[in-house]
Amino acid sequence: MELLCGEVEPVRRAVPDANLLHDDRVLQNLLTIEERYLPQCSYFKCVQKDIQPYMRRMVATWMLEVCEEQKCEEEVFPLAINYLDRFLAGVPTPKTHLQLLGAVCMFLASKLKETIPLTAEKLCIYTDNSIKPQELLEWELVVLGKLKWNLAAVTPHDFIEHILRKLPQPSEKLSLIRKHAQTFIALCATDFKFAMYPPSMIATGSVGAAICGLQQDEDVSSLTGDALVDLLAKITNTDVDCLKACQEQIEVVLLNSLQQYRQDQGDGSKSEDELDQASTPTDVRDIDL
Amino acid sequence: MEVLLRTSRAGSRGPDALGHSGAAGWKGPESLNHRHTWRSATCQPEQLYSLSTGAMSELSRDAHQIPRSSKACRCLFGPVDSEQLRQDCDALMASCVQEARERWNFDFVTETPLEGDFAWERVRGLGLPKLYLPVGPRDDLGGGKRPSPSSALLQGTSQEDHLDLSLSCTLVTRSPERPEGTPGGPGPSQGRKRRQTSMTDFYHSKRRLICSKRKP
Repeated sequence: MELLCGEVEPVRRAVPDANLLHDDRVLQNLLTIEERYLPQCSYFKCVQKDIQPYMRRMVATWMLEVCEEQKCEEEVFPLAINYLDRFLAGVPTPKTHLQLLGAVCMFLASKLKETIPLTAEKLCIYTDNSIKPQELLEWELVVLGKLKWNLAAVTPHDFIEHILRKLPQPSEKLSLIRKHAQTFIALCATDFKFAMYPPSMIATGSVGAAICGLQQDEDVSSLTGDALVDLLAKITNTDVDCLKACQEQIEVVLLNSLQQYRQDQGDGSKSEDELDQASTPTDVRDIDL
Repeated sequence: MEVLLRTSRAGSRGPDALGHSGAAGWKGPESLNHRHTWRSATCQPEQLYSLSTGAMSELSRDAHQIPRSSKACRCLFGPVDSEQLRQDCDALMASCVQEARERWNFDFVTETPLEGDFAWERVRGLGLPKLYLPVGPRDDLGGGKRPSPSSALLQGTSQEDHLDLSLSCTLVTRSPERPEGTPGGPGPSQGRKRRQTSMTDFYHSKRRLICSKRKP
């Protein structure tokens, strides 16, 4: 029995590298290069004719569900959304291609970040077999070409450890703050209004929102209110007012998604079983606003 | 009984147990259907186990199945027109090749240098991996035409890619008015190699700009 358990151990992940995370040069370099990887324009206005903002939300929500169900690493989803936005900022796309595009972006992001990436076949099943693996592979090349093979985009997750390290939090609270911040980052990726924000801003706002949210339950931080925002802004070199605005927007998005969740629950369309499967949204619901 | 019922119902959805091993690969829908029929009919003990406990998290990724009642399996925007998909794919690939051609003044399909900023010359005897060597005998530079299925793979932004082609390029002239930054993707643009250290100069911070846009 023990042998059997050994054979099915979970996916191995790299341990955090203190040499990278405890070096300020890394943070500074991330801040320098992050804006290279932002989409070039607000594409609903200037590029896309068929695709509407609500469709991006639909495909993003679907992508998040797939990533959660497949227990992808946290970075995969925001990275895939980054590819999607950058592609859509350059290439007019009919809405019937959008889900294929979302699948391709998850395929690429998963390959870049995970030890055992998602397979093309599995992703096609998640589209209810509306696309074929061969099509997915062909479009993979198209997306790569249009992204100029620049896949190693900076995501908000790259900043989380750098930020947390500089906060005067008791270490036992950090994992909860980290978890909530990751949830906020995923939420931001589903909402287009964050698509053009620098990842460092989203990361800082998410950490801020996580601490504020948790503070109402218990004392997680010696810092409160403005002092916290000031410190966070200093760490990632962000304007204080921008950061406050960003954090407020993140909280609004959370509120909306909570309402959406309660509506869904009111419909009774989800079984208890299904709710338990989704790891991230459960965390969101746990946050008391 | 309940378990058997659920398993066979899942059969209508399509294959859900892919990646038993990487070697299996995609063998077309027939092989999957076959496998699935087999699975539905015999219902393996592991399946019973995973169904009864829902122990998906115990499994590693390559044995990671798609849950049977997954509501994530859905088609979002209606049926996809495969023909349209193919046409768009070809058109976009052609535009990628064209972009690369203009950027590097090199025709990646026929492997012919073109007029432009880069002077291309063949490099011989670099001990390149076989993968990069041309297939079969070839004419001198510019004359060799061969099927190049990987032409679209040659879009890398680093000049090192082109060494792999057993061709090297040098920058002959650089027009100062060249527009900086190409839409759709950041990254080093033309002739940047000589000034690698100052590459980041071109990505001056837009942080303040973005902030002011964002404020309500």
